[in-house]
Amino acid sequence: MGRGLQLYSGRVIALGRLLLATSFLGAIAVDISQPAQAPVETFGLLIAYLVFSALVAAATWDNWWLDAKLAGPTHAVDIGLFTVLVLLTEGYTSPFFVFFVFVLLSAAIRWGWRETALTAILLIILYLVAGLFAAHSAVGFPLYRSIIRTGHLVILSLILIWFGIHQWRARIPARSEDLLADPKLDRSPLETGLTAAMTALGASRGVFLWIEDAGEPQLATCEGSQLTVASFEPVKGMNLTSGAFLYDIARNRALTRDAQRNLLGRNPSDLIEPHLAADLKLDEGVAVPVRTGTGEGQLFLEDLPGLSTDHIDLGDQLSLDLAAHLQRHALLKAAGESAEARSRLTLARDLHDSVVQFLAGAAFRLEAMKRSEASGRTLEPELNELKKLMLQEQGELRGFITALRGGSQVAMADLVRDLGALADRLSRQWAIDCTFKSEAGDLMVSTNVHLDAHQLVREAVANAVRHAQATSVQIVLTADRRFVRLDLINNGAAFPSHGEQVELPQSLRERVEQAGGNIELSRGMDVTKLAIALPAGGPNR
Amino acid sequence: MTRIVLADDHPMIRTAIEVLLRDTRYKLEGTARSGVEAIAEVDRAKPDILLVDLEMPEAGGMEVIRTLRGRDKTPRIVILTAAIDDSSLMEARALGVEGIVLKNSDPAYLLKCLDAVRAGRAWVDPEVKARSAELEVIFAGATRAALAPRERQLIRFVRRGLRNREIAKELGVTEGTVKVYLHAVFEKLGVSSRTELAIRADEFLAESYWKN
Repeated sequence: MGRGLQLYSGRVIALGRLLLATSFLGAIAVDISQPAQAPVETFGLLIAYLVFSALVAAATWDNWWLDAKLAGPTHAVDIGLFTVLVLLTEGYTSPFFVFFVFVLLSAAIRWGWRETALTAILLIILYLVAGLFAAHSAVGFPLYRSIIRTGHLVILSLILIWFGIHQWRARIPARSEDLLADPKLDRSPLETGLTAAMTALGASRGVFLWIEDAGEPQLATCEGSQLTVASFEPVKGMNLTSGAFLYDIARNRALTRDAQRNLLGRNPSDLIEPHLAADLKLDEGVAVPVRTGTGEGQLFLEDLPGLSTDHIDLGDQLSLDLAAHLQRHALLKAAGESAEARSRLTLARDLHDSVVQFLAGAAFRLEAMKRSEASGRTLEPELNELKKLMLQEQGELRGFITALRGGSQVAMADLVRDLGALADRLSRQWAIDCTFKSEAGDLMVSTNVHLDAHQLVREAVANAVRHAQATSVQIVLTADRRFVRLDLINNGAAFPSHGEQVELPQSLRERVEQAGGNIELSRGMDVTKLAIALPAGGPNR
Repeated sequence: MTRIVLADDHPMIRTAIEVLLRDTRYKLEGTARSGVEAIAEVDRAKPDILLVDLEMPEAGGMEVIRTLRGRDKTPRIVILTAAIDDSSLMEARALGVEGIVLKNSDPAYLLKCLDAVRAGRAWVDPEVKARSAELEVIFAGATRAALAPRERQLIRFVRRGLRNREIAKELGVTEGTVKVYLHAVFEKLGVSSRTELAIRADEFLAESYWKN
């Protein structure tokens, strides 16, 4: 379908009829053997048909309503002319065969297989009757020729009926699936949906009214290049139709299709609430209902070039594409919110486990010192111990904050230094033998890896001590350009298992999965080895 | 000397409490790093007071309290926690917990609380007491039907995000039975979905314990 000429189906049929009428007249005028019967009447008829075709093309070219209303009568005229042509013309210039194809194709394009089948049956019966009539009235007219041709027409009819079932539907020139493929999270899905729909159909004005379940109605409006999204007064009774429809508010016209693809003339006020049409300043265009699992809405596209009944089919396609777009956007948004919530929970857990507990412990120790002072005991050893703990906690917290707000990459040397200090601290905290060894080269790693490695080591050691009663944990760091690997080997008891499946600590597994890495647990020689691999460049989010 | 067992998974807290109780009338008889260890330590040391954190691995503080309160002889219990939600607060009250101290309050409160509990009185952190009073007012007009212990347990599982199959395994019943229980809970509380039940679990449980 050419975008420049906007040849929608009504125009193609009207233009085809006009060209065929011109061609028939020209062919018969050139071929002196034709018309075989009643030459004056035949020429008169063909001239009348040519004029009729020209008038229909002119009247319906820019008028979808007239195109729909005249579709049936012009089809009847075409069938009538076919019958007359069968009677009046013979030989290779007889246009009846081409005309048969044209009439059936028109039905297939406009309506569907039922109407195509009915047209085919009618044409074949008329052809047979005309053949019988000619055989009786004209001497030497071979009846067998009509019967053979009827067989050909039946085969052709079956092919065109199949075409009517499967092949033809108006298609959006620029695929709206492509236009809607990228549901940008920084923009409202109504904005992106509306602009994509307008681009797909070439509309100059568009309005998209959307009501999310238990949400405030939103209205996206686009005129020319000006796009706005705002909340809208609650709409009462926005009854959505099952499919797209055409409307012309000023002329009080609307066209819908039923399940059998029949075009039905309707009053637009039955389909669009009059106050809504006035509020949205609706004029003439196509209305597209959109439904998703979480809401529903109506898209109105106006100032469309070559608005035709095809736009009902195009609107139905847009409806599905828009619904998919809104759902995809909602899904991505939910995934984003979920990731954010997980990050918040992780941060809260980390802060609770480190800062809150440390401060509470420090406060109790200060209270103890206050009481010790009252009893005259020296405070220096206690104060020194507390100072040391505070400095360690401060260093750890500083590393945590640096990783949170730092640049995208840190040097491996920093990670090695921090994990070494952490191992010392964990040794004292849990009263175990926690050692750290690095075999990693001079690389740069993502700050996320720095943060994740830090938290994973803390958590893995805590798990080993709490759940497996480990007294020794050996941490080994290795790395290449793709992965940073942490092996934590402890001498504690085996992790619980279901059959052969070892139960990994859930929080550890979740943290590693969020980081885009993998975790494996193995047991042998009375030690447990936790092998963690994190992508060196951070998670591919 | 009043003998105490301390259950808290954080070593900094354990060390700090140990230091704080030095040279007082309290003797730290044992420490535990998890709920399971806490019960074992209580059985071993038979303390006068159990000082217990709510957030601990294996079995949380409330599970420890429930277990101990189900016995004939039980030590006096003081909760030492960073935070306590409404349902745990109301449940602790219903289970007759003698003391509640918040870790973010004045550290002197802990000794004050232990002194009160030792003397046979209850002592609750001022912040917790204020919240308790607020809940009294909120629940005064409550009209929802009371929940059975099994229903409360079911709500706790739903709040933890367990699926029906997992709940069935925990309770030793079939998945179908869990569905029937859940349906009854939905009806009783007027909720329409599992998500709503999980989100409002604290409110439902708190009200239910308040009624007890």
